[in-house]
Amino acid sequence: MPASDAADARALALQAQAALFRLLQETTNETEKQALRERIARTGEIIEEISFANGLVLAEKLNGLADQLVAATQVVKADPFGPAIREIQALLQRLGHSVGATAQQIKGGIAEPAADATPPAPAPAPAKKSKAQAGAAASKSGLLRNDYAELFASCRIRPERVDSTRRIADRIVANAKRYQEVSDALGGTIPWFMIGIIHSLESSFSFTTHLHNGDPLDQRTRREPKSRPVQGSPPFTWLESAIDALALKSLEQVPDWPLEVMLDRLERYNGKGYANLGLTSPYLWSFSQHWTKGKFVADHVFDPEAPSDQCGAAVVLRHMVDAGLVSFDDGEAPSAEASLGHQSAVLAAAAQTSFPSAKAEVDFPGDIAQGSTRKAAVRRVQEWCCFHDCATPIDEDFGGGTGDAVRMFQQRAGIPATGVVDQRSWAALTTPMLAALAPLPVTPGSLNEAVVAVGLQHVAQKPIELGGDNMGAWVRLYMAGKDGIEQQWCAGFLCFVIAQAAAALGLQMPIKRRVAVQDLIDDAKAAGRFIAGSTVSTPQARLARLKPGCIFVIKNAAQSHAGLVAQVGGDNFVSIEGNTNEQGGDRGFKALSQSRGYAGKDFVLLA
Amino acid sequence: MLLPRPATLLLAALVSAVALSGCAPSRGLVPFRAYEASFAKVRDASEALLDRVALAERAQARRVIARQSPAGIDIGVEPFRPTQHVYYATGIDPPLTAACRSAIAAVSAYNATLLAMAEGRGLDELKAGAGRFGAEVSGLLTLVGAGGSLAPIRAALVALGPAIDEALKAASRAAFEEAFLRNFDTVDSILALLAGDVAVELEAKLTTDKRNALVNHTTGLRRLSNDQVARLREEIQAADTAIYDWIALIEQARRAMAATRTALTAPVAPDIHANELADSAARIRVLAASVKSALMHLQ
Repeated sequence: MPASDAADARALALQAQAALFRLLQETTNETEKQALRERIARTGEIIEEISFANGLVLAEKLNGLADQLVAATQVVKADPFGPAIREIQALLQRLGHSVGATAQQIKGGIAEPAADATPPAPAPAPAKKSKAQAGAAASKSGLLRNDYAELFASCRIRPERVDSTRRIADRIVANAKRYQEVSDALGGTIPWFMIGIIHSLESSFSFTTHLHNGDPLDQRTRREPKSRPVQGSPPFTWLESAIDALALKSLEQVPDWPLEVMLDRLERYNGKGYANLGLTSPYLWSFSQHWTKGKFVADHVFDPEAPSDQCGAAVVLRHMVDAGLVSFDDGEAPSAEASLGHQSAVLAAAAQTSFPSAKAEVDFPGDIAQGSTRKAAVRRVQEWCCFHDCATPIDEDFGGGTGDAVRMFQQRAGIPATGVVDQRSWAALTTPMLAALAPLPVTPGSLNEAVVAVGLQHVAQKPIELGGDNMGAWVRLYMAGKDGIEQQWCAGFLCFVIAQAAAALGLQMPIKRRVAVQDLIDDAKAAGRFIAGSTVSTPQARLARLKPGCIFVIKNAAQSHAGLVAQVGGDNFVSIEGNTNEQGGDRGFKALSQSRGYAGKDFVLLA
Repeated sequence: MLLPRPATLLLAALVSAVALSGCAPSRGLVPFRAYEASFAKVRDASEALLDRVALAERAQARRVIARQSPAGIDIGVEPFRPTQHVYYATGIDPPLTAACRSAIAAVSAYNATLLAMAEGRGLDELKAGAGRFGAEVSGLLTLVGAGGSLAPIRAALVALGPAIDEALKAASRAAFEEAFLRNFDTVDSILALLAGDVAVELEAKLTTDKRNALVNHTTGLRRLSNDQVARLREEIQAADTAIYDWIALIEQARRAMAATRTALTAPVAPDIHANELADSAARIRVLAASVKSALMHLQ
């Protein structure tokens, strides 16, 4: 990693910080200003972290910097055509280019002997192969395909690389929708995570560079494969470029994607030079015990001693499988969940592993059809049908009415209306909860920011009680699997959100999970995190001491309630709360975000 | 910077005296020795600076590690982090500092052998010097292998190997000198890198936390008292002054080394090169003192 890259990264970070500062100066809303101050502080931390960043970590830092800029533009209601926003957009473009260039340096070169190199472009688009031809091509390397399966089965991620690999997988999942768009444009056969893995390897998730090789989108590719895309004129959109890159490799012609074919195609994406040398490829196996050293450091140039700072494709895939983000049925094709392509249909698995109640709610219980005696599963189906306005009694009896409700839902969701809840229907039914559990699209700068982002992500899905007071899937999610009249869930809701936010940042839960408001208060008082409402009686005091992401509590003779603070204003604050209603009651049936006054509220800080 | 005139005159006189006495090789021994003594000051000043950088590098790394590590219950003691021991062990330098010290040591070893050549030392002694230089280069290679600010010179350092081997196998002084001087450009590139990207990195180690504190004060996120602001500004300025002086010192060392090579290879007019060396020696002493003085203002 040339030092100049780190120096360039630092310079970009300083410019990003300055751009955010200009936005801060233009902003008048105090809540927005505070959010910007925190973003600026985070960019300062990234500047410090860049000093220790090389290769992959540097790419991560640049992506983190872009996250700060994107999040700032989302927080601030600024003129989208104003100079500050335009400056940020230009910076994002440059950051993307730097990320792409860094990715190529990490990757090294194309692993092909010069004679087998991709023919120089411009060249006509490859002729469409028949599916049979494509299948035959995929099976040519029969022995290697067996090797792939064995290597994948025994693949162990090096302990010091586990965190990096997890972050890569998380980012792939967070971008799943964009990858699915590419797949859809090519006929929908290419698994979205295959595209995501290529994106990580070729351009470290930059959306301003070509998927072919990380070159900037404002011109045709300069490195191999050169002068792509042939059609159209620069600047290209990322989607256009990605379609061309995948079509160039005929990936849309591959009819099925069992594991071995996927690994074979991934290796071919960079070239089979390693296989020709009888070696495993770092493009697949770096960061695992299957690869130690030796790589193509430039196109067609192999250095037997060269290390790699790239996370191999198979290693990312190994993590995704282990984390339950994707699966291969019977070791062959990607599961229905994965091929469904719903971002939320698969991405919640990481959250599930941390939250058993989430796993219990969203795990596919197996096919459920009329006459099923699995009462808990039937109840869940009925709850979700009701959630989607396909009403049916929630009585744990899968009769004709429930069958009709399921068919109605399937019809609306564009799924064959069989009346049987198969894996695909289940994924579609539970999509709102999966979306609530999804990784955040942008890495938050702090735990408090993460809490607000996760809380808003939940209320966006409109969690409600289903089947009675304090009943239903959402209540069980927040109340560790329990529901029922006595399961008042306001505190359970906020604790779940905080725990999910902490997990998103790789942090431990900062407070003890409590389901009683008084316990939250007692813990906070003992830890010095309690702020009595009387001590923040002025707008200045509120703005100075309360932070978005902290907890508000109401404890009096009439009410016992708690929620999260999403925005701090001088006279009012915006809440995120569960077990409430639009009147602010503590016996409501939903989770929502609303404006509240300060009277009668005390506050609890997270740290 | 103006030269201390008396020193120049004194050295020039010495050069003339040595040249007239005929007791040294035609290259002129005294100015080389003066330069050798002054280059020791480059090392001294660099060591003093790097001592400060080591503290800052450890502190900065610990802040970054703490931010990126899962938080446990705060018991007032940092968690045990064996994989990050380079930032916690007291007996070793953290990576950037270690690489910089190693780079300076490699340049010093090269310089020492250049001077041995100028002094007309025997072939065995020269080869021993080349061996020491080779060992320093090997040490440096292990430190820059994993990347970092000095990584760009890795390929050049690897390429040094054959030239050093050739010098070690040389059958004559002339063959040794020819082979050894072929390393000059690479050694010079080490110094150029130190004065460039590495200096930027060193400055960042010394000041980033202070700059961040001032940024957060300016945005209103975390207000500081006027005294705190003034102190932070002074500390940043002191650090920057030290780094500026150090860059000038390294650049002067590059010029002096170039003059040494020229003097070693020039067929005529050794006195001109001797004057140049004497000037460099004087400038280096002044700059080394400036670096140390600026460091004294750092908290």
